[in-house]
Amino acid sequence: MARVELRGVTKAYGPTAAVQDVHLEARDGEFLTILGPSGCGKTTTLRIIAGLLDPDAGEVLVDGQPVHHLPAHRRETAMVFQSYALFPHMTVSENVAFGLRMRRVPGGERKARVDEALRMVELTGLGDRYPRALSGGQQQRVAVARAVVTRPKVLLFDEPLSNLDAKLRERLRLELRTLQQRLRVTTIYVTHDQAEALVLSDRIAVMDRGQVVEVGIPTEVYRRPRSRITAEFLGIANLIPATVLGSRDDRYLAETAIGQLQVAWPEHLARGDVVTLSFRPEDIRIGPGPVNCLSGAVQQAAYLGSTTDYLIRVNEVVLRVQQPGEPSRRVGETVSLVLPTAPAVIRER
Amino acid sequence: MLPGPVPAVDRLRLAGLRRRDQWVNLLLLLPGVGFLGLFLVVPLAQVFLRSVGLALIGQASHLTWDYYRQFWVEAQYRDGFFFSLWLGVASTVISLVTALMFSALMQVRFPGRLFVSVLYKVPLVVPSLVAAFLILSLVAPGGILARLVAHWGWEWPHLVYDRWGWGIIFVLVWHNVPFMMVIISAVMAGIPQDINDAARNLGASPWQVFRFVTVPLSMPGVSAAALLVFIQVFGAFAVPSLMESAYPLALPVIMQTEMMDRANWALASALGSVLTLASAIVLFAYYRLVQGRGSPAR
Repeated sequence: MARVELRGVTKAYGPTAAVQDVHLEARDGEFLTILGPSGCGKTTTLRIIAGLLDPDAGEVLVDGQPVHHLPAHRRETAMVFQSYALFPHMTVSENVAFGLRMRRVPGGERKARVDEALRMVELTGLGDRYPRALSGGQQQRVAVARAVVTRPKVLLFDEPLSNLDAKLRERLRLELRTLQQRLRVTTIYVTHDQAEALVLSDRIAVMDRGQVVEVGIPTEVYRRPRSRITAEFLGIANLIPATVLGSRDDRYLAETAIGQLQVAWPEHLARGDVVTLSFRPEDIRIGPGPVNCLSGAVQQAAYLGSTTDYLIRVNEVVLRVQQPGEPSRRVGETVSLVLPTAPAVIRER
Repeated sequence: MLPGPVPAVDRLRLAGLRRRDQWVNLLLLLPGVGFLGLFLVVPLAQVFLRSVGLALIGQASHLTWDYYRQFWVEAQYRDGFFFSLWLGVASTVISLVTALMFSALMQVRFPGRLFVSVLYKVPLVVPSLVAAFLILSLVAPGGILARLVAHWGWEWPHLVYDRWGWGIIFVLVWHNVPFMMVIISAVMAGIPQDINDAARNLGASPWQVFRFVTVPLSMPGVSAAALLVFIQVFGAFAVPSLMESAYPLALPVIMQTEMMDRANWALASALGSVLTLASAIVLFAYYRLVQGRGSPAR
């Protein structure tokens, strides 16, 4: 286990800054996910931690010791690549044993550790096969076994599930989480898949345009995002600009394009503050209610199996609403909506 | 519904069509097969027939293995074969090691890489004979380097016209390294960067990455380049004839003497057949090697 810290890390490719002044910490034994859209700098950040890229500025520390000056092979990190990067000329066992060979682990111990790692990822008996004789899921497991067998201080994952089909991805993400909890190794996981981030992580760091915009536990970043980027990228959000009109009892009154809304927010908001209210589609209820009740017309209804996804126009704003079960409203029908009184309030515009 | 039996008239028509297709296929194959037959099979067959005393020009023809026996019994021919073999093996090994190192370096980004990548290809456009003259003027006993070191009273080593043909090997290496590099660099460039990064991440030093990952994954290019260079050097005539000592002579040089000076076409053909057979054995070994490695890699 180890604590990984990035202090002011910056990396540019020519005039384009891939990573800008990134400050980030992964605690001992923590599963930290870096989440963001393609090109946001998350893989660059991971490769800097692994030593595969040199930062232009800033420091990388492991357990308080600077490591950014160390070459990749001297850092105690192990990475699972998006492409798995298995050595095609080596068998599964040879692939897994590679890191141990480089560390001059004696033959007997090496074999025992390789067998243990293969057992851990449920690939016992496939040690003599070559990677190309394996399925995508099996290759991914070999890559994981190859990484964990060296008992690294830090495990790094670069979108390791993105090449797999949805079902397998779902199963393997749970297996990865179980494995990490069993090994208690500090893990930094890069993905653009919000479901993966929510399922796997102790904390999520959201990145955008080379910067970390928010770090928090999954429920916190999902329920109370501090930025529009987080709200938009992590799940679906109805973002409604609002102006605070004042407060009454323990609630604020906000003027929006869909009418006046009551908002409960633990932090202080001043009259005239311009904010963005973020409503999750599953928090909006179709039906009458005493507070924040609006009227709108159903524009679209898409059946998703467990839920139905509605687009409902209220004034000039189209809200996305998800209700459990089959479609119960027809397109064109006028319905009442109740918006929750506790949306996330985002102060940036 | 299952199709019923084909009527007799239709069967005849189908057979006619099939025959016509066969003729069309043969006609389409003719340019390729004809070329190979005319320019490869016929000359090779002629050389072999002459080597066994048949199809000789201006001489009585009778089947004999005497010319092969002569090759094996007379030391000058046997030594010539082994000298050619030595030139082939030494030039190939030295060229290969050099080309591998430089090809690996060329995968690294450094200032002036483009310039170096153009510069190393220069020997490719220099004919062998010109290269030989260049090297001669540089390393021969009276060459530039010999005269340069003579200023300090040092003696320049004997690098040309020597027993082991180091001057010849030097020229052939100079000429073949870029050729090998073009092939090997292309294969190395095809190795995904993630593979090298994974090796580094797993604790491999740059040398270990080269040894355990880059070289094994470059083997298709390495073996092909080595094969082509070996066969080319094994049958080299121009450079050995210009730079070799009085004894031993490379087998192609002896062939030329037998053919042009002594009009002994039969012996020259036997020597040529031996060279061809030895190259074919190397080629066969190469394909066995490639087949053996073919399944796991990539």
